Amino acid sequence: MKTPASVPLYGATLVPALQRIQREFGYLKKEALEQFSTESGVPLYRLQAVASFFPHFLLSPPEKVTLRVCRDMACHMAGSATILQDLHSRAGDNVSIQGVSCLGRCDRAPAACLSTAAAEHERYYFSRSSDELRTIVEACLHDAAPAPDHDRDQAYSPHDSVINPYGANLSDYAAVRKVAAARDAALDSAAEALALKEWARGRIEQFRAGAIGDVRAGFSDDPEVIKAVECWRTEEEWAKGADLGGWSDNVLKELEDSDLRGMGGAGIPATQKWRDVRDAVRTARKRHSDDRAFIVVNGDESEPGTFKDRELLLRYPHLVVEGVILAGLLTEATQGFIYIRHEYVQQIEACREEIRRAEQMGFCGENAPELGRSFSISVFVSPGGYICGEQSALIEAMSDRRGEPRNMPPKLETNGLEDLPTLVSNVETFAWVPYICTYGGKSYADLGVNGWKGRRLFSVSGDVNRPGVYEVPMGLTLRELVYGEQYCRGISGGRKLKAFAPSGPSGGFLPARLTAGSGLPRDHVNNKTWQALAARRGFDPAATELDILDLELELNLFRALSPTQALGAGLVIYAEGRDMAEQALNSLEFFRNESCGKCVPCRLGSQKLVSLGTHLLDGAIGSTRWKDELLPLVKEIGKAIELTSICGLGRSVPVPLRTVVNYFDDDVSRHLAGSDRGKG
Amino acid sequence: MPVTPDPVARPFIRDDDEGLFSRDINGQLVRLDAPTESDYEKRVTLQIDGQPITVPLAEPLKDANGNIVTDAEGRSKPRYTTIYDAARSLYVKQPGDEIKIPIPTLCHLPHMSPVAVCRLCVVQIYGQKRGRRAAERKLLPACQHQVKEGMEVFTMEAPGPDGERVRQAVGVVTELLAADHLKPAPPPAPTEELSHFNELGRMTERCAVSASRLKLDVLSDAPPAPAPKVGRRPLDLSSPVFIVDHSACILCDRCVRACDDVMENHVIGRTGKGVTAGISFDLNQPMGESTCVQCGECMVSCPTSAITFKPVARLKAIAHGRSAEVLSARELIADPLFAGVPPKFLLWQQGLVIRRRTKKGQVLCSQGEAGNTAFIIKSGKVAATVFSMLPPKKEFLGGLLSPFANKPLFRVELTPADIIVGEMACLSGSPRSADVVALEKGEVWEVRRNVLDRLMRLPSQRRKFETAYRERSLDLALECSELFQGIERSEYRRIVNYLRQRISFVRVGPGQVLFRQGDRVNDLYLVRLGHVRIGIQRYGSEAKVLSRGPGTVLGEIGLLAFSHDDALKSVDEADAAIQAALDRAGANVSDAIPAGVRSATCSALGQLELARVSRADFLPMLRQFPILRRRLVEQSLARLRSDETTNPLLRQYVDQGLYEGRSLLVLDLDLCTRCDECTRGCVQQHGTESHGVPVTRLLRDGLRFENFLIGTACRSCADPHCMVGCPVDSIHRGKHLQIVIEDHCIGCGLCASNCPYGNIFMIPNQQRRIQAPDPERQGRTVKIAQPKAATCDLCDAHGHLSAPQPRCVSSCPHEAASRMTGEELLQRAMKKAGRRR
Repeated sequence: MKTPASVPLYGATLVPALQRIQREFGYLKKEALEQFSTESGVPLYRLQAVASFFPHFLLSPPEKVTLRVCRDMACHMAGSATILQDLHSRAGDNVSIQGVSCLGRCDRAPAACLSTAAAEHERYYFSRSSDELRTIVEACLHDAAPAPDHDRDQAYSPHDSVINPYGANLSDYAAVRKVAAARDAALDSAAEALALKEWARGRIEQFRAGAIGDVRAGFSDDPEVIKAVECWRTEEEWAKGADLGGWSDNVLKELEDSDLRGMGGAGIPATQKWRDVRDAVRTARKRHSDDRAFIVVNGDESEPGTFKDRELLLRYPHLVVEGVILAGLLTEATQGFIYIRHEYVQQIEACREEIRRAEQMGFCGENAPELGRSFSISVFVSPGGYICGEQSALIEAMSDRRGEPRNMPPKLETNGLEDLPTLVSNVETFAWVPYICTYGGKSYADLGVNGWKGRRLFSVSGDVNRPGVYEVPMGLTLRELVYGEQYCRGISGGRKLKAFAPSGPSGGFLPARLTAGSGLPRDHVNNKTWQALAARRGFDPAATELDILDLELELNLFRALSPTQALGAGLVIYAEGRDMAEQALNSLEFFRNESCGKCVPCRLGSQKLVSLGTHLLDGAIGSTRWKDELLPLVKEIGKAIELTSICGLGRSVPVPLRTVVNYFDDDVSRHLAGSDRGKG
Repeated sequence: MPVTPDPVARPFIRDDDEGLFSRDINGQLVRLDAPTESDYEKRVTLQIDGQPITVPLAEPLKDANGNIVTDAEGRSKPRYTTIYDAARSLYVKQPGDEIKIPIPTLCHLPHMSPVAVCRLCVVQIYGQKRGRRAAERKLLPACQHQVKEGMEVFTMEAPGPDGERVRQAVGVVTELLAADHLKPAPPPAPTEELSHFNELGRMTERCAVSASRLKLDVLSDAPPAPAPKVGRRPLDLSSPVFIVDHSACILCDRCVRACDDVMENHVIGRTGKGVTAGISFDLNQPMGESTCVQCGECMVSCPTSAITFKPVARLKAIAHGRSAEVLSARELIADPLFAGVPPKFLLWQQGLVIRRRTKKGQVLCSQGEAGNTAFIIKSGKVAATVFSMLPPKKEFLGGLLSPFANKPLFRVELTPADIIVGEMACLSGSPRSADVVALEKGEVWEVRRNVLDRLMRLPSQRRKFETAYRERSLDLALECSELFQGIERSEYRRIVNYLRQRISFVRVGPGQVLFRQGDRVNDLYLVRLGHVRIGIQRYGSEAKVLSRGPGTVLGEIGLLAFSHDDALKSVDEADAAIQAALDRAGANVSDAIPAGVRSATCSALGQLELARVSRADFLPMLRQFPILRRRLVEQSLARLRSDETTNPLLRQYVDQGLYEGRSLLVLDLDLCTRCDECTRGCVQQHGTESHGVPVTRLLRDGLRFENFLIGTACRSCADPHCMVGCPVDSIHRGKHLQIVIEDHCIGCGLCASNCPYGNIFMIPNQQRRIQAPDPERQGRTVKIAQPKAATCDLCDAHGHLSAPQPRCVSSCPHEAASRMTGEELLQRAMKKAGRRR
């Protein structure tokens, strides 16, 4: 058998090159950029466009010490604004104090990130007071920075994690073996069928050894093999699917039975994307066009309040890698990427280490023996930014462009990276696949409670006694999660729940009690989902009030109550006494800071809303002016942003303010100046 | 006892995650493959505001000039039809109807690929989902969204709730833009004149909104400042010509696409992120310090006052006596001929169009002289007379200057219906090809190249010009070819008439390959303007390189299916065989002779214009005109027999562009003592007049050709590279067809970088000192001498002499220096090389 020629692998060049220059000089030195431009032929404007888009890249020399303190949600609740102000006022020479968007350590708020001109990697410090941070900066100025905090050393003990089918043992990629065996069995039976057609034994061996794949991928030009494959490739066979025994359909069936959904927030059935990519690859083969395809793990996790992937990538990198290999096997994709935010330094290391191990074991890399073909996986270190979590922006960033979302359709499943079929899914989505392949789809579905299917990870932060990442059954009530002994162990200080952010800042804030006309679905008495919920939870379906703690944490339930309501993986709990208007402004500022600036409504609208929120909190707005002039205007701006923005970030911009206006009127009114029109 | 949740258990797909049209009827995700030419034939019917419209699924891609983009084989490139395209075909019936399209656009221009960032063209779309009429949850951009069968589109002008939804959203987006970015153009730009053409300002009128609501105190806080060198820059006055007011930039990306896609200058991009994002030049430098060539395309494309111009390019009317006056931009904008030319361009180029009132018998231009302008005939009649193009056999430059005493070849009378005359010389940089004389009292508008270039970009205008051009050009194209020399007049006229309906003109850019050796021959080409590089491959290496100029016929060997074996045949024998084949074929003439293959690879050496006759028309032509057949056979056989050995001198001649030279400074190295008197003479001649300091326009160094030195001095190329794209149109041919740089040069350096031979020098002009940003002190300015281009003008910039007397030649004490054309040089070099051997 001929060795297949290796496929040229896709690799971004610009972003890694910029990362290299920054490592060398501590920032992107103009001369270095000019030299790179001359050597590579990439025009300067493109270097500027990319370098200036990602905050990770510095276009001017940094101070000796730069301390960045997270500003968002949990860290904001932990007083990061005061800390920043305090540090700022006392910062000496050679020190830069900056606010930064969520660092993904909301359970260890406030989180801070320290970088020095000397050290290659950034150092992270968790739950430190203003004084402690100042001491750290001082020490750093004298080149004696205290040891940083590592994610690996922090407590992570989900009481009953089942996601890892290998338990305490090292993964041996049994799920991949199992699926590969199913595929080989299908090939075997196909080969037997060929034997019935009086094929020579040697030919069948060739066929089994992947000749058919080689021919289709253009590796083999042996005319006899081509002829053989052509004869096999009848319309009928194609209609059944190129995988001969329908083995990939069997796997897809398991995924479908499991009802595994995208864990990044949108909640689309995962099977859908897998099937779409597989079919797109087949279509490409049928057309004899480029049949490469890509699997991309979205580990850009940058939404405030969301940090579950941090733990998966760190503790179970083998599940993620195995999930990618399984996706590659099934869709026949040619290359896999794990896209990880650059702040997850240890996670990047863990994944790289695991990829090396898998390569050694023969499960990925060039001519991976266990797969019978090439499938390389690599880690792509994100140049940073919340917007890169938007899947098309992520693909843009991987393509050496600014991380700006695309206008869709076309979808990535057909026109993704390099305009080829690309499967982009969340880390957790991939991480559950080995479990499903090991135990079957139904057993995953059975993990749910209250009639819902499956299991998932939530990251909980804010005013709870034990913030952290919890693997819970779908349909667990918020009450159990917040008060459960094995979960968050109640609200800190024994206070009462005031509000709950179901999806970082994107889902807005829900009040402790939903009432008719304020949170409950319209005509809720006739809403079947509502009735079913009432029956399960044992309350009167005609009730006009719902204790939010009774809500079951399940996306479909949330959507059924309100079609636009999101339920993400980042839950933030607000206790009595929190000012929700102030929290809304904090969320708005996050969106404003993270808007990519591509489309007008999000770019300009978010700043208008921040400006308004700032004046509101400053007490500069009178109640009449608010009610008569500004509130209608805010609603109008919000609606326009939602309707016309390109991506989901834009759609989320107005949500925090809108929910606070709807549900927490007291918090808004408190800031309105008593006089008629306020100051200014 | 858990109760099974109800309906939501089925796969849940959010509307916004998946567009209505992203799956086909079988539920398969629709891949957006590049459209094919067969999609032109497919029809899609959709409704826009209730009105049905059927459009093709795809349209041919057009370039910035409105030309259909074609590949080397002449095939167009399809692109999917968008909703905006469909609306266009529904509402635009004649030029000027654009305003009736109920979809406003700001970031979209027809010649640019859509980016859909301004969101003003959003519409409400309805389609079918699971068998039911379903609405897209979001509003989608019409400029980018492709048409689908059965689509229902509601624009901002639709009555009812759908239209209202769109109207409100578009209104708010307009307000957002206007509140932050609607500003008057900063001085020294002509603020008042420009204010009428701010597209954002017009948009606010169209949506009947004012920015005031969103300019409220409580909505106007500035965002936090971005990191250094990342975000928008302050007002940028660094360019000699343009003003960049970054605060007025709406990030529509029009300048970005103009710079990077249309002009391919690759200077402008986006910088920064979010609300502080802006446009940047190179690494976010001030425009004047970047590699920008000041072409002005970004300024003309900019819909707001973010990029405007300084009124430096204004010219005094060229002295034409009292009958000439400069036309104001206002007049031009109002003239229907200029409809569609961006008003900003006309304001910028104010002064480049001159009104001339002509008297009977007034000569507008004469054949053979340099022409940098074209004449738009507004009233009255003019006559264009063409004399024989064959120059008398003469040495030196005289050949171009001697009066054309030959009898006229043809004469046409032109009226305002013909629109324009003299455009060929203006556009191609070649000498005037006809005498133009006024026949009666009238008015012509004399336009410069920049304006004409712009005018030719409008598809509607260009169509008119091209018709006129084809009529006039064909005669000239055929006339200058040896193939048609001496053919009896009446037969010649018949051939011309035959070809008139069948010929098409093709323009090819420098370096572009016309066809490759071994390709099947489908067309006959006749070079009208420019030079072709003909490379013949033998055994894998290029064995022979030729350059051929106007009059060359390409492709006849292949069309006649001759091979190398035929070289030995006699003309009679070969001709008889062709004739017999044609006669045999009867009605099916296209089968008479099998199509052969190209015997050489031909590419354009500069701007090239060719007349093309397809094979289908070529064979009948041979049958109809035996004289042509005979000549083509003769020519083919002669070419086949011609020397096939490599001549390194010839290759160098072609590769170094010497064939282009009209006045090469040639130093005979056998005579030259390297005394440098030529350089001294040059410095003395020009004195301090042009730059305030003595400057040389030649370097006594450069290319060696045989035993000649080609000095670094302007060659007065036949197809001048330097003249392409001068933003202020200050570089021209003078009376002797030499290159002359006028005083309004802004020192952008484009001509110097365009010149492949390094013959244009950028030198600070001490007579014009300007303010420029101080590189040492941020925010301060210093006075510096503005650079100005300098090049050899054959010591007669103003055309006072009847023949040029370059000082470099006359000051040479050893008679080593001379000026000659490339051809003359080649002859001398060949002679010398021959002697040496």
